[in-house]
Amino acid sequence: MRYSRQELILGEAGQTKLEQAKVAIIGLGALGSVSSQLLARAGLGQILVIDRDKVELSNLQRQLLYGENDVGKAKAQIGATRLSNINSEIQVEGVVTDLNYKNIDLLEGYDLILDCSDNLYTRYLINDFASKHKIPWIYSAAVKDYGNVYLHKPGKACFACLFEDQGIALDTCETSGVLSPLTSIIASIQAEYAIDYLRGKNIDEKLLHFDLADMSINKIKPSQRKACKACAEDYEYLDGKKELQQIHYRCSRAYEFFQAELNFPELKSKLSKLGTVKGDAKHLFFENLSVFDNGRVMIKAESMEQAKAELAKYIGV
Amino acid sequence: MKEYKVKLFAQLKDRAGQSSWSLKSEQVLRTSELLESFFAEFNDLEKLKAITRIAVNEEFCFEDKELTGDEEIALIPPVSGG
Repeated sequence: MRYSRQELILGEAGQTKLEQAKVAIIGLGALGSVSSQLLARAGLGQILVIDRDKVELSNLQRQLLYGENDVGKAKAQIGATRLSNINSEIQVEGVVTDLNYKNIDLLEGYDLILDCSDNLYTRYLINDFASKHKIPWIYSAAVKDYGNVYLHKPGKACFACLFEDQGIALDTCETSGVLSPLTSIIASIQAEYAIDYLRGKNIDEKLLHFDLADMSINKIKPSQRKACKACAEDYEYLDGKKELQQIHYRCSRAYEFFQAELNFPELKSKLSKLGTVKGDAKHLFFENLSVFDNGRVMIKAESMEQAKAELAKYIGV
Repeated sequence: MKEYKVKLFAQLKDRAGQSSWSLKSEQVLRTSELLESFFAEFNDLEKLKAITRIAVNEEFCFEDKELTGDEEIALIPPVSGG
């Protein structure tokens, strides 16, 4: 009864496939909020959601899983609870972590990975992992009034074939803004790709580019790039060779820094003497800092300089 | 005289402030020459050149291909954010 309306389209066999599927969703911001909800409501059997951030007031304009009472809470935690409330018949797991080459094995055994992240590094990392383990994944990205969706099937042209990493910073939601109808459209296309893929329907193997300004969709046929490292099984992101070494600007006035030799317990102890430290054994929140035990530091700051100052003050860089 | 018509996607569209661009040329152009001409005209977008892909007739083109001017051409940078 619950799925009767979509079963008219998917058929009983299609619905059963969805209920048996395991999907991992990376990022529970604007895109992940929508994709995860659509898949939970459609009855996807197992959903893993991963996000490292806390809900902020400026997220509520477009991150549909959250409300005002959630501000300050970890997205993956509150998001997983909300998804379970939407559909108690499915299994939902929320993991508050920064996905990186050391913990990406979290994604092992999933049928499909949905990229709803907000940075290219994570996308190259997922691309390496998915290529190596032959797991299909769906890239989605949105900023300002345009976005992309692409399903990478194992053995076909991968994300790194299409877009080689040149270490260049791209526009972010914070610097350029983003409209919530856009993120909802892009995530809805991604969720439809996921449902179609899982029920065995043929999907256009093209990069889909959507532009809200004129409501246009352009589809570009991919091809494998000869020099692509991931396709040659040289997984630089998975090996940790491409781990971040400097401060990068991210969405929502956040700067990111990777400190390879971080002594996490010691830092936690030191910061506890200065003020309130929240978190758990794997990550801590302190004032404008979120620190993960793998050495990744997220700093809330108005400028790069301020971020550096915070790093110098609390991390010692 | 050929007129090479090019669609601009994502950040290129945004920064150039237009969704298409065209170039008239007496000569037959290659994809690399078309790219060079675009970034010469929009030289403040130069840093996006390394990550810009060219699509010819709705297909990614990684080779330096000779164009006829009748193709549908698009310049595509990646999109991040989410």
